[in-house]
Amino acid sequence: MPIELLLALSGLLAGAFGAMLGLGGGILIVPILTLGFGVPLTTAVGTSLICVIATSTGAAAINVRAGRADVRLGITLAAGTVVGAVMGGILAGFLPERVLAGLFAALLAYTAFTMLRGVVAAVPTSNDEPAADPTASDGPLAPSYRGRRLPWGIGGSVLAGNASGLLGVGGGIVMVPLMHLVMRAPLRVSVATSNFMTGMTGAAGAYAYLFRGDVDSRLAAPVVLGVAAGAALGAVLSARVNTRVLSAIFVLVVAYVALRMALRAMGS
Amino acid sequence: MGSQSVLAGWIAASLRAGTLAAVALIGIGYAWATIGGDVRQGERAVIREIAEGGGDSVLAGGLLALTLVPIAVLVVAAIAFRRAGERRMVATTVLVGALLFASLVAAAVIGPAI
Repeated sequence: MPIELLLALSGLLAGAFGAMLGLGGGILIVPILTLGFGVPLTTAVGTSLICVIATSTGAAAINVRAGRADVRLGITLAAGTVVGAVMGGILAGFLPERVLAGLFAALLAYTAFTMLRGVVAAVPTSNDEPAADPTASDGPLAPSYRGRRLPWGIGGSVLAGNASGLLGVGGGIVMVPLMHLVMRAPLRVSVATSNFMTGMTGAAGAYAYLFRGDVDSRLAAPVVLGVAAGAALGAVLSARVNTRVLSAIFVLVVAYVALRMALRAMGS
Repeated sequence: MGSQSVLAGWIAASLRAGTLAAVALIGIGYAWATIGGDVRQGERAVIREIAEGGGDSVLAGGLLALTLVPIAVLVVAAIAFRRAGERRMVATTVLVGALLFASLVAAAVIGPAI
């Protein structure tokens, strides 16, 4: 099979998995490119950031139109993620590949742990719907609830952006718990808003890679096209698949990839 | 139609149009470069690739265009907030847009050196 087709299929898989599980897909694209295709880690991260933007902008158009994403909260927190992503993108140019691999392994392990908790524990639903907030009267575009602890939210956003720019992920794995658990935004709104923000965060990190020459456009193109198609497919399939079973499979895959990345970081 | 619907409609339309245009450019450029038999150069700075012409140039332009979609969306959002008279959100949106634009300019100017 031609390598271009394999790359497109990998993108399709990552995009579909990401859309079905509410992730950007970067958490899969970077390991696929590095461990599966032998691409240098910085090139994989740059390529992944471009894919993350494609996934975000495609899905955000639907989420924003449907009123699921809180545009005001997303833009406000993006001030933090953009700064963090720029720092991460620059920092990645200086860090040795083994250090990046070690950091990615840690992120994968955290992702697997977080998703495992979601699979094992019953997912709370009481906070899923936006709570009416009569005090939210600061403008005609204000949402029906108000996010709390904004300074914590901005601080956490800088960290999420840093992870995004450094490791080529969307940052949703940090932003969703931050908005939902710390800022008390409804879960559904947190997921959609995180997806809306990911495009801005990904772009801020991607510029450093694009202009540094860390993106191979012939490598990126089939992956981006595959991811865009996969995200659309995943959005359609998400209503039909058992998300809990899918998450359990995903945990196993991510845990295995974390181990492979950790071995790579140790030079094995 | 309420202000919230107008904002959502504008942003959704700009996201959809920007993504479709960028993905179309990537697809056309990739097909042109591979079917046309352009020599593959590997990793290169995006500006250099755009300047060289041919299919790879269109492809690199598409990748760059995709990264510009969020900036375009912020411009649209700032206009929508301004029309709604929300000064604080206009300021926040302009700040985030300026940060993104500054990171683009900084990467273009100093990117190849780091």
